[in-house]
Amino acid sequence: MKAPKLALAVGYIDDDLVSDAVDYLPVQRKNKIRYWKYATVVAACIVVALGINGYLKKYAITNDIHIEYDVNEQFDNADGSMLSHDDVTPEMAEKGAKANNIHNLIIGYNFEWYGNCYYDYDSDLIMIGLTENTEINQKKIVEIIGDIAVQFFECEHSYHKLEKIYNKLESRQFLLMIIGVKRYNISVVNNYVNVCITSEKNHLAIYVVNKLADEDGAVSFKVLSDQPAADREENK
Amino acid sequence: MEDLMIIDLFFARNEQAINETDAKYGKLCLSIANNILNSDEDAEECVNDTYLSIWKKIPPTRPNDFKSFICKIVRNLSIKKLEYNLALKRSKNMTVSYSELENVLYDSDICDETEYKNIGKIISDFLRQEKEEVRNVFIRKYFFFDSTGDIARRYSFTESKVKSMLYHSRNRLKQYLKKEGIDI
Repeated sequence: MKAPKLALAVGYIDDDLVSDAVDYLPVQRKNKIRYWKYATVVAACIVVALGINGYLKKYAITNDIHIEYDVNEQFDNADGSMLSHDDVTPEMAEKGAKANNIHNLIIGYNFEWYGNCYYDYDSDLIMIGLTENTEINQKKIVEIIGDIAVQFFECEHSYHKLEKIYNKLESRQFLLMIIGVKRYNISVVNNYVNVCITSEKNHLAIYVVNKLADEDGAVSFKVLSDQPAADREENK
Repeated sequence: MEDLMIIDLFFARNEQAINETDAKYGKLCLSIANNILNSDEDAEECVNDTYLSIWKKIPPTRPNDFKSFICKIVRNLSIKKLEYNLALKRSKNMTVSYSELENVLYDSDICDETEYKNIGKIISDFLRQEKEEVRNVFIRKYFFFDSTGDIARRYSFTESKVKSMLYHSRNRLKQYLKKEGIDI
């Protein structure tokens, strides 16, 4: 068998064509394809991220999330004191400590309806919040604390529930740290869990925390800000 | 080493020229010979014959494009070797490429070198009109006798794309040769 005429004739094509074919690599084309692949992936990621952000933003609005600004970067004390140390008299401090002791005593009983206990500086009363403010429950509390003058009132969330939320947050503290949750605590006075986030626009943190808290309004978000409230409003 | 320096070594009849050629183009020569002969042993023999042929041709020849010069020699020697071997065994890759080309230009009779050169010139003109990637795929297939799989891997194409490119360029070449008055 002889090689076809054309197969032999191809052996006589111009030298530069042969050399080019040895060296040729369609790098540009390859890069172009890669570029478009990456561009498509990046575009898709941006669309997904925008979609998620939009959803989370809408979530924050529809769920009426409460966000406060804390200029001094200070949380309420667990015993409920909102005053500076200079304003507190020894009597007030004593009553505050007493309220704190009562709180610690009651939570040992693990009542589902017990909310909070704190000393109210304005009315000079030890306040005890119950989610079911009934005579029977009040009687149970009085049996525990003895003959101490207290004022009962109906509160929204039980301490048991707030503690449960706190424990949930605690068990996921690494995840929360990554998504921008700075810290969290139970505010006994305000009867909710305080969650400090990096920015009011951190919708992801708001969403995750609120989901962990079963979306029943027991969480209040705080944004640490260096600016006074008036300046913030101006900037908005 | 630069091609010009290697050529100078050939002119100086320095045997180092063979070593330098082998270091620079040995793999390329071996792959061309292997594509055609489909046998490592035969391919190696052919590459050695190529070096001997270059040694005989330079001087007096001073090739403008040393790479292409070597490729053409190894290709011609491999085809000759294949024709010699074909009575005993067949090289699958090569015979497939042959059969595809036979459909373009019928092997009516053996022609002389001038006619081959003439057809080679027309094919060159045709290839220059083709897109760069199409042209190179064609040359990789019908000059170097690479398999479609190898071409696809080399250029990051799919095998079916390579086959499609070859099919269309063969058809266009057929038309072009007809237009140029080449007997088909």
